[in-house]
Amino acid sequence: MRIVLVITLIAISVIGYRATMIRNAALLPVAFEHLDHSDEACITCHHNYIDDTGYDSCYSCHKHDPTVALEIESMFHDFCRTCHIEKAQLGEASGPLRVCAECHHEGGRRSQNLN
Amino acid sequence: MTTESTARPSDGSVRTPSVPGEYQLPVHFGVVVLCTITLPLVLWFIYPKAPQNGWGWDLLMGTGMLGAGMMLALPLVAPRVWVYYGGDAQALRSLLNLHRDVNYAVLVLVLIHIVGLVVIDRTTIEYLKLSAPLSMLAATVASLLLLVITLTSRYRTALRLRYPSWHAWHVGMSVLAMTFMAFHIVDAGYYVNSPVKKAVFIVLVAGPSLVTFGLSRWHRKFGSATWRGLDSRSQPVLQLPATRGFSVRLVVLLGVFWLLWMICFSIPDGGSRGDAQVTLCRASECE
Repeated sequence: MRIVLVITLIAISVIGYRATMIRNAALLPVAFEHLDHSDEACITCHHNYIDDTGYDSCYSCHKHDPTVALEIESMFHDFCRTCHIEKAQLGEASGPLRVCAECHHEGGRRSQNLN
Repeated sequence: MTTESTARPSDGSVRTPSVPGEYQLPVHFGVVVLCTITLPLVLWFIYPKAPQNGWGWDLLMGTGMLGAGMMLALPLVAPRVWVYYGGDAQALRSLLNLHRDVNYAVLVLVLIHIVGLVVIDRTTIEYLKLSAPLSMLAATVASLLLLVITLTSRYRTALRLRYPSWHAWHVGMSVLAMTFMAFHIVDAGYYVNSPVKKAVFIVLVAGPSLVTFGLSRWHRKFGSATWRGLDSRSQPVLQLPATRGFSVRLVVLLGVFWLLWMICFSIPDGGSRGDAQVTLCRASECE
């Protein structure tokens, strides 16, 4: 019984600490080429053009806005990868799908410098 | 694997004497175990097929999927359940060895999956941190649980763990490990990427555990009037070598099977990602 209690307490602490870690984690550098995405409508990504939800860069807003900060990883990954996978399944040029380093490499934008 | 009969009694059934150093499993039971191991891999290739990510990456993902499949088969080869259903001591001993060996194989495959991904793509180390997405965190917890389960089972007497409490923890941690593993695969949603595939996978995960749990309950309720599915004295059996290196050979055999499958799978098709598309995505020109 004591073991279960200890495990529960550890789990609760870890969950709380995880949120702090996500908020404080530096974003990885990302390679993104605007020209490769010129077929898409601007508002597909730049939703703030029509819904007035932010005026800064994508990363800065999603990293610092407390309402979305904890979901930054899933929001960006789901958004980018879903579109890339759909295109790949249709046999179209898709860009990276799953391999982390194809987007997150040293030549990419140093998004952790955003303040 | 060979099906061997050494004596045929008057009722027509095949009898095989217990031979030390061999696993003896009824053929139909062996088929069920093998299907449980390979079905997660089969799901990968069913429509809608996930696009490729390069040979090395896909191979390591397949290694993980194979490990998951073997993990699903572990409850099926838990001797504790089958002890109620006939089978001689040697058959049950074989089952215990198989349970242990398949578990070692799962550990090896999971280790290859994790270390291999970090080696070919250092960025994946981010998924081993506490800030990783929940699906990746679940995989880390499942792997750690698997390690704890293995160590506490291997060194149970040395750790002075009493059997009843060890068994309760063993079952509990196993269920948790499989749940986290299933969440990892379903939530990642790349290879198991449609509602139908996800439903089938969940059935695959829950099925073997529920079957073994149900069989043990069935016995408690109905006593000896039960299915004698593991009685190797009255059925054709698979005879497998029970040497120490069997788990390694099992992994190598399934690895070769997987490699051949991957080679077929890696033949470029319309949905694959071309290298030219990657080179277009240059960071230096990013604004």
